[in-house]
Amino acid sequence: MIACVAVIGHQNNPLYIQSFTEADDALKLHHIVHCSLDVVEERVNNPKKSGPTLNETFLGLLYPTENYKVYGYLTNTKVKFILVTTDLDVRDADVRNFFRRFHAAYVDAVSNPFHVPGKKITSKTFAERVSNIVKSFGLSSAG
Amino acid sequence: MVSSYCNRFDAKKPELTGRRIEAIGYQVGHRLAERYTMERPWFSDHLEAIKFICKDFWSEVFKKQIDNLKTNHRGTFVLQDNRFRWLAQMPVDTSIENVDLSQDPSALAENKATQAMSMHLYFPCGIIRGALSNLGIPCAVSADISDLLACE
Repeated sequence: MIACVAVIGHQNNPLYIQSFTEADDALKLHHIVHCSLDVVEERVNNPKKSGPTLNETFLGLLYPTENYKVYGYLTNTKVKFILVTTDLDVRDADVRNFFRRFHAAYVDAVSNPFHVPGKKITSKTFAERVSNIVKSFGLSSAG
Repeated sequence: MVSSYCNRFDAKKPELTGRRIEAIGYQVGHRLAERYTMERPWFSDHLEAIKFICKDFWSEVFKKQIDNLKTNHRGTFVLQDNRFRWLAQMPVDTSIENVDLSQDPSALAENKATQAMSMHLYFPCGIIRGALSNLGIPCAVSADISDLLACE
């Protein structure tokens, strides 16, 4: 179950935050997303210490908290995607696939000439596409 | 698009027109950079980003690669394209409406052509500037046309 997805701009300004579980506190999810930004910065600035793969867009598992796992993805334009999930066993390939589709939806949303870069993404099409991707993520990892 | 901006809006202020066209190009380049860097790993330094512009970005937008890249290793890059497709079909207008007898007619025609060309070049400059600034490199882009009508 995906708890929440977030898009953070290159100045660490939030562009889109959407939570998919009604039960959990939205503030807690925002807090988790915010803390994960620090981990992203650390991974980006110390590529040699954290692992052999430098230069990859997919950052992998950022840090596990008591109930959630947080995955990160960084684009070339320094836009970060954060995924918070409650699943206990999530395959790496599934998350990569999720981020690839999410990136495609993000690029289409930003290509809108009425969208101001740096402001929040208000497109309904983007919200719909994201919820479709989230739903199919749940189905594919359950099967 | 460029001719409507030149002739109808702000016809008397070419600098303003040029800046507007360049600003449109900037927005377009910004978004194109997002789209074309989708599956790629990060660029380790400025040179990598410029090489990306020369190869992938240039071939997506202008349908061919850059012919020559020079740098002074201090932040200036010269990208040379010997056959810029967007201008290849432009006619050079040899009819002059107000003949100014004090000036050489062939030089006048060349001036008009150069002016028209430079207006059209603001848009690609804007595209490149937008793409580079989205990749995190603030820059200024200028275009230079030489050997306008040379043929062998």
